[in-house]
Amino acid sequence: MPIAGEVAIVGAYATAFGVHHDRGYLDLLAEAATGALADAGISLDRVESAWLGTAEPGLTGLVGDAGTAVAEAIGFAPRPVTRVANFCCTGHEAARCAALDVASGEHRLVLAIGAEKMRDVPSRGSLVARTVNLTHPTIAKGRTAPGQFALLANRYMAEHGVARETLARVSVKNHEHATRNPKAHFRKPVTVEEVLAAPVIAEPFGTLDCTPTTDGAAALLLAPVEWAREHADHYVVFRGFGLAVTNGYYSTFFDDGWDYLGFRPTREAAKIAYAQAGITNPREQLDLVECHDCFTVTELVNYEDLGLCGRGEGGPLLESGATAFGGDIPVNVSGGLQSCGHPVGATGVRMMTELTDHILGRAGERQVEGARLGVAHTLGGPGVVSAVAVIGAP
Amino acid sequence: MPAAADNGASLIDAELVLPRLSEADPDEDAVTLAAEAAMALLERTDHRPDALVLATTEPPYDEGGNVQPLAEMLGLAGDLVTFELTATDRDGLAALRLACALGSIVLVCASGRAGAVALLVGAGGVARIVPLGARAEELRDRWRLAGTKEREEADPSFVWDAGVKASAGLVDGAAAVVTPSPRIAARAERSRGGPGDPLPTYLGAAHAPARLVLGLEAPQAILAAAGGLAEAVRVEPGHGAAAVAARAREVLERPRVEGAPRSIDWSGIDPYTSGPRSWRERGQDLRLEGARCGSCGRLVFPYPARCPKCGSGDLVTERLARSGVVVTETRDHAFPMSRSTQMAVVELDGGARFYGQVVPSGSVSIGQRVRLVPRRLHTGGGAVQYFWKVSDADRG
Repeated sequence: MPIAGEVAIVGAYATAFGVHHDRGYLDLLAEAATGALADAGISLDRVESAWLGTAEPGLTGLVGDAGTAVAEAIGFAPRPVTRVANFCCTGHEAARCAALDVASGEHRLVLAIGAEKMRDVPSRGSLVARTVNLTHPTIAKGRTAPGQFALLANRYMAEHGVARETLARVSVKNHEHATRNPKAHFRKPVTVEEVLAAPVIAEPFGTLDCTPTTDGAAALLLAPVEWAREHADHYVVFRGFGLAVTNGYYSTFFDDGWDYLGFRPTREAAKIAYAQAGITNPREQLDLVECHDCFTVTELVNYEDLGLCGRGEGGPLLESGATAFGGDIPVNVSGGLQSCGHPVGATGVRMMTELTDHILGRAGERQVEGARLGVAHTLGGPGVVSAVAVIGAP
Repeated sequence: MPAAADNGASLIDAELVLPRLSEADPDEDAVTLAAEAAMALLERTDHRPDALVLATTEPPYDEGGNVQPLAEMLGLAGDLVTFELTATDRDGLAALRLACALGSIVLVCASGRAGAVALLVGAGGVARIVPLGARAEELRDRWRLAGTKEREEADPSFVWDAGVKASAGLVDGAAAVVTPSPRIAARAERSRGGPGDPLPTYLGAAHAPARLVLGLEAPQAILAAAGGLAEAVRVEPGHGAAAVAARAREVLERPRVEGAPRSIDWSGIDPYTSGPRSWRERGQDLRLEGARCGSCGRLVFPYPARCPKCGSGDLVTERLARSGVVVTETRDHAFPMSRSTQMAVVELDGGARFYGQVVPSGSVSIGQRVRLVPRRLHTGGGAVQYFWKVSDADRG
């Protein structure tokens, strides 16, 4: 059977995101997994298989390099568990593989766990530094994560006449949102002036245009909708799940077909997920969106690529207030990657726990009233892979 | 012009390259400067050299050879006769003598850290090169013992008495005189009625060949003496020689920016490297080769396994144009090299795109016309990794 309409989330939990010097990778993983099971009211011995999303085990001495980390953290042996990775879509990938596992009929209760421990190393050993050194010795040497999105930001501002301040307002909006999220890494509001005055990272981005480096984990317990209907206290349903890639990794920068104004994988993944979910007018039909705001400009092009507005209209949509908490299509009410941080493997799963909380009406202060349908979106590598999950009420 | 005969050959064409600043960028070296000069030269000629001679006393490698990456960058690697002369700064002229003796089409590249000259030598050129006398004796004026870092220099009066006077007999009458000491060279040249040195900086092994090219408007003799080695040639310009000199003079007169180039701090870079990878992908890295799809016609870089547009495996190797227009850029402060590194995406004139670093002394903006130049990317694994960078300077 397909994922859409057939696979349910019956338990969801995210750890607090932040700098957890007192806890290791396995501790975070264990908290997320047991949290999801507690939410579902299901004991560990009933879970049949698990999928782990971790993007960079090199940051943790290779702990988390394989699925056995789950067994070690929660005592899962000898049941099957596999680690998956797909750049920043790693969390989505863990959920997608778990959903496919359920949909295939092979297993009934399956854990999807995303975990990343990024702050066990100082900035010299950080993901940026590692990537700089470990990538191809010539092709795209000089590229960093902020640098690659800054290429798009400069082209986007030049092409669409978007002001630097508009980018800053994405950060302002999402930091304001995070004041209502006790699990966010940063919970202090920022002003446009502060964003513009922050230390430069990759022009035009300063530190407050960039997602911080964060530890965190999140987990979902998945089950067939048919099972959930009978046994679950509460559940939500995958209405669509799309994943799309481009031909290449760094070669994407050299692609003369790319306009540097948006990301084709997001458009392709959204097309798949929306078709499955019967979404023809995303802005009208969706109640909230969690999207990949790794850098401020990314959120603006995500609006366009996810069909919330036309190409080049991301700036005006933001400025209209429609995507702020209380607007007609609130985006990243969690605080997004800007304020929650981006423990890579955890992010996609964390977004799905956010949607679950809103649809179940338990999102507290930041509850989007009456939310019944939402989107979780991540974008990986230099925009070469994207995953879009549509999650809705039963 | 007559073909090579009686111990003489002719100069077909020449190109001078000087850095925009008073010295070269820290990612330039004798190989990249020589490559820039020679690429410009090869682009405007139908001649294909069958021999390559590199003369430099500032070789990037003390051991293992420097002419190979140069041959790759020039698209000459493969069946090729090569020589590398690295004894003293006299070797720029010695390379010309060698070229005359080889009797084929020879590309001579002479370079130092402050500039380079490429000369195409063979039959049917614009100026006859006649090697005169040569000398070799044990005389140390500037040297460095293997395994030591400090260079030793002899007393200038000794250099004058023993070195310059001894080689004076190689040429009769007026001559351009080149020695590693510009002051001594100027004095010797003045004393014998030479034309005077127009070059603003000393170019090492490239200095004597550069004098030769700049002086092509009239018959001249050039004497190069360094370290007890001396070499003299006579040049007899024919039709077309003045144009070669004028081109070099244009390079010389191009406005140069005062000040030292921006330094590069490589200490944050410890890159993954692989010898087999470097060798396997040398066409892409050093020759800037992409693939032309035989099915859909797209030109693609980096060299793909299959055409990313149509999936065809019918790919034909093609060198990319080294000029184009900036699509977008960013100055990245997170890349752990120096304080910041500008990165740019360039739409190349003949199709395909390039994405990479901007040269350290450069700065580019969207829509600007730029060129790709060979530079050192890093020295990971103890080897020089050359690659292409984006330059806003007009040099060729």
